[in-house]
Amino acid sequence: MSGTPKDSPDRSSPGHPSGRELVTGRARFVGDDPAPAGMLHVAVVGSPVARGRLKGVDAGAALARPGVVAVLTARDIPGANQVGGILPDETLLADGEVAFVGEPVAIVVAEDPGLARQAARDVAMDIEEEPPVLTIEEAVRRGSYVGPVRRIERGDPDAAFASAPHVLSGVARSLGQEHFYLETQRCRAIPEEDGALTLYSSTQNPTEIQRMVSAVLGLPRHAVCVDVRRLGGAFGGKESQATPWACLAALAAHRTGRPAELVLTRAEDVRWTGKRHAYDSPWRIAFDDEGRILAYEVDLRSNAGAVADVSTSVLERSMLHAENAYAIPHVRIVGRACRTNLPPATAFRGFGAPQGVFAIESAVQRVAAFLGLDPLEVRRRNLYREGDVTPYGQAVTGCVLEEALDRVAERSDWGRRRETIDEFNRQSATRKRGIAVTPVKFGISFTAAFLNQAGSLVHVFGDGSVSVSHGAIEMGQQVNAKIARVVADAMGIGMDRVRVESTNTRRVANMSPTAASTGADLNGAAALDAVRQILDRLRPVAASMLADPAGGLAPAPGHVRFQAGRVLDDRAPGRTLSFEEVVAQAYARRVDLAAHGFFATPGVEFNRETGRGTPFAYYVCGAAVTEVTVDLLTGATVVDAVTIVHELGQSLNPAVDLGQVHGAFVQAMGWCTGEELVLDPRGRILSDSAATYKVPTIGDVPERFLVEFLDNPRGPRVLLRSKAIGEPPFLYGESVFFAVCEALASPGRYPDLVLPAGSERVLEAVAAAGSCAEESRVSAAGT
Amino acid sequence: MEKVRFFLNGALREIEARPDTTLLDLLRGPLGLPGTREGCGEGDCGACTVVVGEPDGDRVRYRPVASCLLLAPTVHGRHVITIEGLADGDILHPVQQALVDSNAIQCGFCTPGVAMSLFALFLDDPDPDAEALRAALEGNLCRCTGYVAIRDAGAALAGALRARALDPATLRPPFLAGVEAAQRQAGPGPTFAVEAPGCRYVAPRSADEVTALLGRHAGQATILGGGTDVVVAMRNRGARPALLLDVSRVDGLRRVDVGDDEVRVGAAACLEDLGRAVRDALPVLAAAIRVMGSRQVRSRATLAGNLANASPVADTVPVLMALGARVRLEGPAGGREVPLDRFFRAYKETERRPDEWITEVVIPRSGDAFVHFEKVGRRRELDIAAVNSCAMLRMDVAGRVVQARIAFGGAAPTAVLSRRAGEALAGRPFTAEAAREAGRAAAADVSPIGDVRGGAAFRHALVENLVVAHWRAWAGQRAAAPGGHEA
Repeated sequence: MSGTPKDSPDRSSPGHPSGRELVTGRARFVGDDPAPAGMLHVAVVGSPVARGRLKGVDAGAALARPGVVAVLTARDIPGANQVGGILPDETLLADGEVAFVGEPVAIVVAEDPGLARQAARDVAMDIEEEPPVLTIEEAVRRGSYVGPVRRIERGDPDAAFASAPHVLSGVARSLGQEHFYLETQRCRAIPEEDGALTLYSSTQNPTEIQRMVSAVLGLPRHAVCVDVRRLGGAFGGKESQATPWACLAALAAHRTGRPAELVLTRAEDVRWTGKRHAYDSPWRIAFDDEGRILAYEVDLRSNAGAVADVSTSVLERSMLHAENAYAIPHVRIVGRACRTNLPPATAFRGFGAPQGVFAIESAVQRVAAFLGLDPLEVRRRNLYREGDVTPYGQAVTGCVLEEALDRVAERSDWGRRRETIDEFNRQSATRKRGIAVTPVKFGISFTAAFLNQAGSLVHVFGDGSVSVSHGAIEMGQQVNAKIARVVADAMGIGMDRVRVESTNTRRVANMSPTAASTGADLNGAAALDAVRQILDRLRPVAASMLADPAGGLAPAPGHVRFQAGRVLDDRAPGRTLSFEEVVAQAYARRVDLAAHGFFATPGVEFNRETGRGTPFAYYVCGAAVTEVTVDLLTGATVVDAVTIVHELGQSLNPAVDLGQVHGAFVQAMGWCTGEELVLDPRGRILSDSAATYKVPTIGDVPERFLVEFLDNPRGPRVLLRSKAIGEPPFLYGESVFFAVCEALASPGRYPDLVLPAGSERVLEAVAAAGSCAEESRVSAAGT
Repeated sequence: MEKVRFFLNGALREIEARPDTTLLDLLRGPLGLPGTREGCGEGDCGACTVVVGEPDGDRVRYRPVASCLLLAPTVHGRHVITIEGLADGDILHPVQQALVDSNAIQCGFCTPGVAMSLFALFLDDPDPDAEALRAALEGNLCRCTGYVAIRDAGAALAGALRARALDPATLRPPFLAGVEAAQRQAGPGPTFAVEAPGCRYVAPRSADEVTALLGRHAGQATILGGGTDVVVAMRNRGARPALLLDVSRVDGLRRVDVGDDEVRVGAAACLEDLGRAVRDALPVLAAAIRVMGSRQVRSRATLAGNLANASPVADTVPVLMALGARVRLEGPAGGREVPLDRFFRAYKETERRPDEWITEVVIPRSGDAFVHFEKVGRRRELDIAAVNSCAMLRMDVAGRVVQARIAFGGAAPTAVLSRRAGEALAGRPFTAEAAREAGRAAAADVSPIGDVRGGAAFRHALVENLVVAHWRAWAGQRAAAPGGHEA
């Protein structure tokens, strides 16, 4: 049985539990609570140059300002000056050298934030500037990498290329992307008794902050408590990159003994924090006359910036998505993370997969153009079929790729739209339209297997109300709503009886970051584990309360059911107890009403030395079709229509998941079109404000935007058969880029565009095509 | 220090504040209302949107503004409504309820700003169409939702009002009427001034007072219209004006007089009001204003400020140059008018002397000439142009160009009226080929540089292409006109 299309997601599903709080402004973000008495403010002194020897720091002038309490440098760090999460190559405060613009060199701690920033400008740095390495090309030339060069290989690509009927090659080039979460990085640190600290941080990764702060300050981890209520957006940008700012606030609080807060301005945040990795990926593809791919090789080269951050993991995911949705017999995937003097590139929705997919989709698009075939048909011919095996050895099972592609072709009216667009383009000289399709297969799990674990703590109180703590961070994806739903459904009570607490390292230990779209899967399962323990303890209590020995009903815990706020024995469902009655009785009988839950995803492992393994618990599949109009005079692109068919499983909350699809697509549309990071030749980011870095506005959203969810009865049995949703839809946005390419393409000529295809690059491509056309006219006239 | 007296969510407040403090900092700090949030600090993201009510004739106008760009004394006598004032106890305001019902909230950081923009829109126009919704929300960045659900929320609310499923009276918080009565009773008040060490703010009620103050403090005074540029300079570029001379309270300075031949624009008229006032009289100016900044910025920014700033990419400048507008300057030595194409001397330098101020801009109406504006940036809305251009062409009965004035911004240290482009078109029929030639000719009149908004080659290409884009618009108009045909 194929995937069943499910029209318009159910809008009646329970809404955002914090929706009322957020829409009235009562919800608190870090920095919204009244400042505790005596709170100080931290400003960071960042390196003004991309590379150099740091010979000295003179804080005299800054310290002379009344109200400046301290200026702290590497020397003031009591513990280890090290905050590298994966590789220990990242100092908290520069020591001896600086490696990117904005690298923290010192902090100024003062009575108010404006004063702290003024004083930060007074701190003099003696730096001997050295020429920076900024490009992937230059880093490759110097062999400057983060981590080893990795490979995944299958078959005999060299032989396949040698004997193939056709071979094409190119370089897929994509730039970085600024996260532009609306809430900038921030942390408030409060000293507690016994030298302990409580940190309110805007982080996706509380445990990493606990780990790093304890190392930096030389404290045991139990002395560092990290609490997170919610984030004002993150998208990966607060997975590892919240850490330095939290550590600096903690350092200020620890050294002064007073509460201290660090809130980056927008300009600081854009200039100093990491972005999506830029990639230059040379590729080569071999294929036959029907467009069947015979061999593919790609050298995925990321610009990692100055320190490792999570670049090795991002690169790994690029490599594990390098073939996207296609079964290719002979494959060679090389990956290198290039070390340069830019701010460390970091996690961003998709985590390397978009760049890996971008290379193969660029190649497939060229194959179709070369053969003059329908690009959707070429893709269909190469799709994974049930049981095919990926280049790294994981079997592709239960996938709905073909269903999704067929369905998106049907819903977007692919064939007819292509004809209409061709007709439009014949009539129009200064505006051209294009249409493109992008299928997606996205692997769910952390590729670092040990991260696939989660904990929870569930308390049931005497009145039957429930408090849930888990390890996921609420950042707009509404993981709290999903987990509240899981708990409420399992206990058979209403969601209004379940309160989801802040994420706190004292209630749940050793959390993994909320990332890789795994937050609800892992933490929902951990919460469910705790709930089941409690229900197992409640069953004997309920069974004895429901038993009627005189009526022949012996107590049978196995027959106890929790549903609709009632507890009953399914052999005699007429008599029910309230959940509260059972809980009260259990308490009276000294039954433990709290439980700690745990979950570890079974069966995932990946050997990065050999490039083999089963890194993913399952795949999420789908496809998107996008139509655009490009103005050849201005270079402006309008996205006219989008159709997405996405595999969802049994959604825990369809309205939330629809919002994730819309949000991810529009974010990717920005990456593919207008979001241009502008650097100067010295490695400074010039597009450092909302006025110069242009994320999409409401006016950029396509008029026609159809999203259809596919259920997949063959799918894996994950949490209540739901599927991860955060990242996969980001990849659909690439169809925008390829639609622009199609609009600019002419027979025998495919545009050589770098992503993002902003107006400037589009006009360059138009000019290049124009001069080529003129040349060919001239040469035709000459012959 | 003189206290700033204003209404906040229905209640009269008096607060001591330095004149260089922003309303946002006051709200989040001493006023204890942290629901208004800072996302960018320069009026480009909408997270800090609040609604300000002020009397306008016999009614009170409510406008969405970026509180990060609003200096504390400028709210004196006005009514500031923040997200905390929107709900009536536990009953959400209809815009809030719509956002919740449409699942338009993800992380929620931008949500208060979105709600305030919708609130301002629905107070102003309870029956907005899709275009009005878009225009009201384009200044609110949201990085989570992809805007679809936000758009749906606005449309659903409009639909409910249209279907009478919702009483339009519920759009007005209960405290509005009382404050409006109090504001009307209080009137505009006398000249208002606030002084603090190193910074003085004066808001005179008469033009003569402004001129006199300028005469006494020439060189130290910063003229404050809407403040959308002055405050950014203060917050982000370290500007420390000693005297802020707020001209927005001068009697009569906000008027826009639409005459048969000319439109006269008072220096304190905000762009939003101007755009609405000239929708029929000067549609090209209305079109240029529509793509400037956000509703929040347009509700404060003024035409005079846009000209006085002398930014080479100001969107109104090519329009006014093509139309042949004049700038009226007043100073202690008297008044004078300067044609706009002679107003800009160099990058960020104008003919205005330090003791002069712009009181009025006079714009000739274009009659039956063809006029068209084009703007290219990285994004369709809410962007500063890489290059902008306006063309005004008059044709004779035979379709030959009699007069062509084509101006460009972003292509030289000041906006440029291209003499060569005009000459290239004169006496010829307006064809694609002629437009392309005029574009090439215009390229010789400009000298673009590369910066964060685009490279020099890109700008050169745009100068050339935008003349063709003017032709395209003209041909489109002709084809659409009754009895017209494809050019």
